[in-house]
Amino acid sequence: MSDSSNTPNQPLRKSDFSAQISLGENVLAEKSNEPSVLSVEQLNIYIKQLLEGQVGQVWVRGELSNFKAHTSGHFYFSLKDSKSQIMAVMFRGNNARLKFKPTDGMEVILRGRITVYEPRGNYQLMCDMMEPVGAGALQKAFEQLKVKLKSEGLFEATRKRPIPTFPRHIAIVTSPTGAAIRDIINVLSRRAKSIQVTVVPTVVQGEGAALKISEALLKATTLPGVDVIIVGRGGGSIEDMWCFNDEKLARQIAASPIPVISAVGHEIDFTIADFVADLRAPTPSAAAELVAKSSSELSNKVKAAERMLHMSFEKKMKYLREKMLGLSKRLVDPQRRLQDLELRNDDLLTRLELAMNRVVAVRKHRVELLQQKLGSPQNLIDRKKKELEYFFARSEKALLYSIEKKKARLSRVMAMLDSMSPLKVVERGYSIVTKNNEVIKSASQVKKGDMLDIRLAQGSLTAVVDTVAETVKKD
Amino acid sequence: MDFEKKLGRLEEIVQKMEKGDLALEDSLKLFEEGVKLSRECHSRLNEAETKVKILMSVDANGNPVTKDFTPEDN
Repeated sequence: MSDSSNTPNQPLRKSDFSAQISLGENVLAEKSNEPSVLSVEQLNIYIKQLLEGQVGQVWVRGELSNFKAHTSGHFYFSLKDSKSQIMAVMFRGNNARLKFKPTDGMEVILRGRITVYEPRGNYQLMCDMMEPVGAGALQKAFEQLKVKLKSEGLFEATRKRPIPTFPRHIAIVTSPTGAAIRDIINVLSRRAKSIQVTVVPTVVQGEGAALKISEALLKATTLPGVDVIIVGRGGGSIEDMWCFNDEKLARQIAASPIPVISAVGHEIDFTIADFVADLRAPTPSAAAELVAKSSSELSNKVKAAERMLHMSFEKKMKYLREKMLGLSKRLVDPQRRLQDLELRNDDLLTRLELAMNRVVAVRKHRVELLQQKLGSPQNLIDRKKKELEYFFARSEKALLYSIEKKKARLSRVMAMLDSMSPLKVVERGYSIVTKNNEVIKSASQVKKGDMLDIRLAQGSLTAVVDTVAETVKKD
Repeated sequence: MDFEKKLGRLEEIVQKMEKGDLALEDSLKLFEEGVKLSRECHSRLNEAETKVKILMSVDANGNPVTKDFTPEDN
């Protein structure tokens, strides 16, 4: 992505370096009278020892040509001036450190050693350092300007304005034909179609480029609605990018009322414009990505934030709801406690009643016992009644028994009586004479006129005594 | 005397009575006191429960209903 170099080649100057190689004559001839014959190999070894031993490290200035970066990573090229050239190689380990891209026609100063490649019998410069010509001076000027502007406070972080997170209109100060604008437009059209882009065309290398860029930048600041300016170009040589190390341009950037993003060359390229700008982008593409971030990534961010907000809100709500539930549950507690107390009170009351009943019952029982022991009149009466009844029953029995006995006796006596009854005699024709129920056995018992009762077997008679005839008893 | 004290006293009375070593007169006195305490506790609990129920009730809008609480005479 390098902008084509329009720098005309400067007239080449001859190298000041001239290797003074003195060949000892006695080295080639061992014997003064007889020249020794060497093999090719011996000769080359000899030359190798000679060159590598004598020449050693050299600094050479010249123009690069036939430059080839081999797939191995090593550089092969020639170094030439108007009159001469020498083959050179720079191994990968050394060329990786280069801060520029060597190209044909570039004038460089390099450091190396002469080495001889025996199989081919050629020698070459083995480089370990390479620097574009003028780089040293430029570097010095760069450092001086950097110090100056820094001391003025132009690089201070405090004076850098924030890049709007959601730019709507970007002005791009760069070459309309360069790689930079292509890259920026690419990124923006892919990532932030909604952003309006205005290109303010300018040359970005060569004589007077710095002034042109300053003017273009000034113009960009006057455009309506621009909220970010990107100023920059694609990669190139240090000379190509030199216009961005211009003091006037630096001051113009610092004075811009609109935030400026610098995007010069590659990530490794630093310019004064980078230090002054409000934001340094490593490359133009990166600059575009920085502003495009606002569109796509910002909307993603917003969505994510919205989600987060929603989630955290939900979480908070859930937490509060749970807390409230917990609290209201605990609020119900007094009710439960009341029920417990109710039960406890009832229990106590029941126990109280039971205890009281027991107190009463125990005493009642004792009283009864005592009463029993004491014996009440009623009891006595009852007992006597019972006794009486008992005795009565017994006496009745006894009485009945004795009656029975008497009856039996009576009937026995009666039977006896009956057997001795006078009535039995009467039946045989005797009669019983009584006077006033007194049996008359003697005539002396009666006198004339007495009334006598005469009992017969059948009936009785009453008779009046007529005569009494007393008779002597004869035994 | 607050509720807790009353209930505590009631418990004390019940324990004393359950021992059963009191004179009848004392028992009667304690019993009378205990029944009185129990009745008071009960009515106090009723009041509290009514109050809680009132406070726990929620209207159609989910707002808790509150009103001035007047204990009923039981």
